[in-house]
Amino acid sequence: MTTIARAAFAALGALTLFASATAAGNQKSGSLKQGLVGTWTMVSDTVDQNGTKVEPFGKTPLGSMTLTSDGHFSIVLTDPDVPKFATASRTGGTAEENKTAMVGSIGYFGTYTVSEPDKTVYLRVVASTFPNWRGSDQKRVATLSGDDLTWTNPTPSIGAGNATLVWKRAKPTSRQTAQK
Amino acid sequence: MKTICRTAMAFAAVALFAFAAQAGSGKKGSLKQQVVGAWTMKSNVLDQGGTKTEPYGSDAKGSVILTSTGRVALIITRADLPKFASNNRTTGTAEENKAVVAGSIAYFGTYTVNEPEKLLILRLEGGTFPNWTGTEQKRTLELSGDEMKFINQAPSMGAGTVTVTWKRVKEGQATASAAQPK
Repeated sequence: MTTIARAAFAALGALTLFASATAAGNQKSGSLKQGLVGTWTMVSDTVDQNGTKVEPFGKTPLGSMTLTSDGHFSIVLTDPDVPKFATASRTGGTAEENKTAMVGSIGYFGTYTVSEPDKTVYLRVVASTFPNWRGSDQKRVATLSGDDLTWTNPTPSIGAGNATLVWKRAKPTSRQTAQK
Repeated sequence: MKTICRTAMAFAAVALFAFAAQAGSGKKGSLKQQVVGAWTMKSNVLDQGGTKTEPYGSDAKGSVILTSTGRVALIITRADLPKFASNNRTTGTAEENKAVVAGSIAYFGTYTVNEPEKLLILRLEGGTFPNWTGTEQKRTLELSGDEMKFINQAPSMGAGTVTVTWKRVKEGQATASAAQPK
């Protein structure tokens, strides 16, 4: 057999291995990490403060979480009832407008890892609209069932209590097909 | 044996070609293909009639993730937002609230790309600036390898043109620095 043929066989083998490794990485039914990757839409956020249940972003919260396969996350949670600012400028809000915006929203991003045995997601927050979370390490216990995800936060940004967030896997957008 | 070798070589050639074509398409295809991924903000400059400022400071922190399924999430903050004395997001002082609202923005929604006009069209579903929720936002896109620019003619701080420069996050970069206390 010629050297070229050997090289061809080797290349074929490597490609086959690569293809199967890629396929394995894409499957949903594997690890918790694999199941979490993607975009999630918030269904509810309830904080239990010694038996008293609080919904920090109202009864119809809007929230989005994206976890990438390479370990980055982005979370934005808002109360859709926060009133618009009278001025069109974000920096020109009144004290009352600033307060309702602050109380009714949070955004943070960073990197994450997953501990499979204790079903815990470790978040390293790079930056947040709640400054106290900047640079912090946080953990969330995740329960995943198909397209439904529940995760709990023992240190919510509203102080005391335990937060339970329910998420639904976001469907691909219909607008994608409409693009030019 | 010769026939087998030839067949194998032909297979390998076809497979290599297909693989190269696929690998190449991610980088050099449409704008839509190029914008997909996680990006870190390098700079954010506001130009108001020739006067340039950095509304989030010179060391601002920012992230935008554009998914292949058409979703977007963006967060930008000053690096020096003061921490709340109460350690509670809902009980900030007027000064603390003002610093955050003026010094940060976060939003999410869906997006499409208008290829001929090089426009990123965002449809915002929610965010920290209530005036933008439910709006459509347009950003002119400039892409060059792992660098992307958003040019925004209607920034959230009022008049002017904002140019946001992003750097693509390298695959695997996060895992090396991720936190997992054990």
